[in-house]
Amino acid sequence: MSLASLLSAAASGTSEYEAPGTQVEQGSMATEIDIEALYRDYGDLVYGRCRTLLGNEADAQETAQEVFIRLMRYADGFRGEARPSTYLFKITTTTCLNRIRTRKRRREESVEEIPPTASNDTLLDELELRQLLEDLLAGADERTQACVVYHYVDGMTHREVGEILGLSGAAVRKRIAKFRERVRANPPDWMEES
Amino acid sequence: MTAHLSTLVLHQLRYGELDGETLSSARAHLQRCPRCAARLQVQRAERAAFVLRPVPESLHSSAPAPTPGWLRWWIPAGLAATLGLILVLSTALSSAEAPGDIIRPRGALPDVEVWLDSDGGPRLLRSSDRLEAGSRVQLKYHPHGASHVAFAGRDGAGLIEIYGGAAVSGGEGLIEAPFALTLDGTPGDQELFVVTADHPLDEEAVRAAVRGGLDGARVVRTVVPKR
Repeated sequence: MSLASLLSAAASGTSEYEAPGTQVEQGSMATEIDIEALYRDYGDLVYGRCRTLLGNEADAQETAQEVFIRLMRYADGFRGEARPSTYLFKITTTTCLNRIRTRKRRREESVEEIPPTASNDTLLDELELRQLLEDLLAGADERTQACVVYHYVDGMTHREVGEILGLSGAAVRKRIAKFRERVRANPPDWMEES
Repeated sequence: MTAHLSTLVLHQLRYGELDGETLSSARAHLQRCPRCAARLQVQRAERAAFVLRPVPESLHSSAPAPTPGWLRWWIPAGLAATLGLILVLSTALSSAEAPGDIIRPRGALPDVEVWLDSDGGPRLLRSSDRLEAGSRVQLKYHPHGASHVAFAGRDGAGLIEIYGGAAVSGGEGLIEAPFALTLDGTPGDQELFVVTADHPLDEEAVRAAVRGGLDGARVVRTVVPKR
């Protein structure tokens, strides 16, 4: 079922969005998104993504909640999405990168000071991931940061990155090449993956 | 980078969002790539740990709170449909993936959980799931201190099937049913019942419990959506 139909079901009060095993009184369905149901179904994706990119538990919890609160507030903008996981993956990544930038600006803590988490589901190990984020923060624009994360951290092709960001594959390739050029003088470990 | 599955594809695989060539390609890759298999395992472990977490308070206000008490299960209109179940006396679905106790919003344990044997391993049945013939599910139930449990189902025609009963074995929290159920090809949703009591439950008692209640027994009903 697409996110659009999930939302429609929730809005119309039908049983479409009734989570099996849950109890819902007739006539009491949410008029927006059933955020609790979305959280139960996809919260692990959001929370795990936050923990991987942010590198610490406290930030991950806070940011994961922020993602769902955004969903709640801007429900109308989410209609029409084909796959909940794709959409949540995207907005979680965006939210995390925003937080990393804010954290850096405020100098609350530097990237290298973040204690590593035990494991992650990306293609980089913890140290490579932190190094990449540090390199990204050093000057890449926001769109390029997203391109680099999806490509190097998550293993997406240029075309796949383009699809999720609304860019052409060529545009993604160009941005990534430009970024690679910038760090080529002192190639980091994560670049060996490409 | 295309040598491996993307993080998103691994998520989509777990969520059952892949199909056709994409699905078979991803499965084939996982069989020959220990690295991606390990990454998928990380996601599954994350899921298993996640279901132990309560929903944050900040997210409660947007959705109606589940109403405790089996008497107030909401029966969607038009639910009645024919469907059958074939009881599969087998061991539980691989429990390596499945966590034990599931904590629900507001810290309350649910009365019953339905677990699905999916491509990505056993997982909690989701609101978007529509099962089909061959789908395997398993119940986890809360005994609420009862000594005996029985499992039953009812199809759209009103036919009640008694799957079996047993003495409750297990500690605190949710307990896996001693068998899994495999859906057959009959269309329509399926009601499932967990009946618990402080005494052994014979077939007649379970039927009575399903039909409208049985003194001294607790009945929990859930619906398994089917295509």
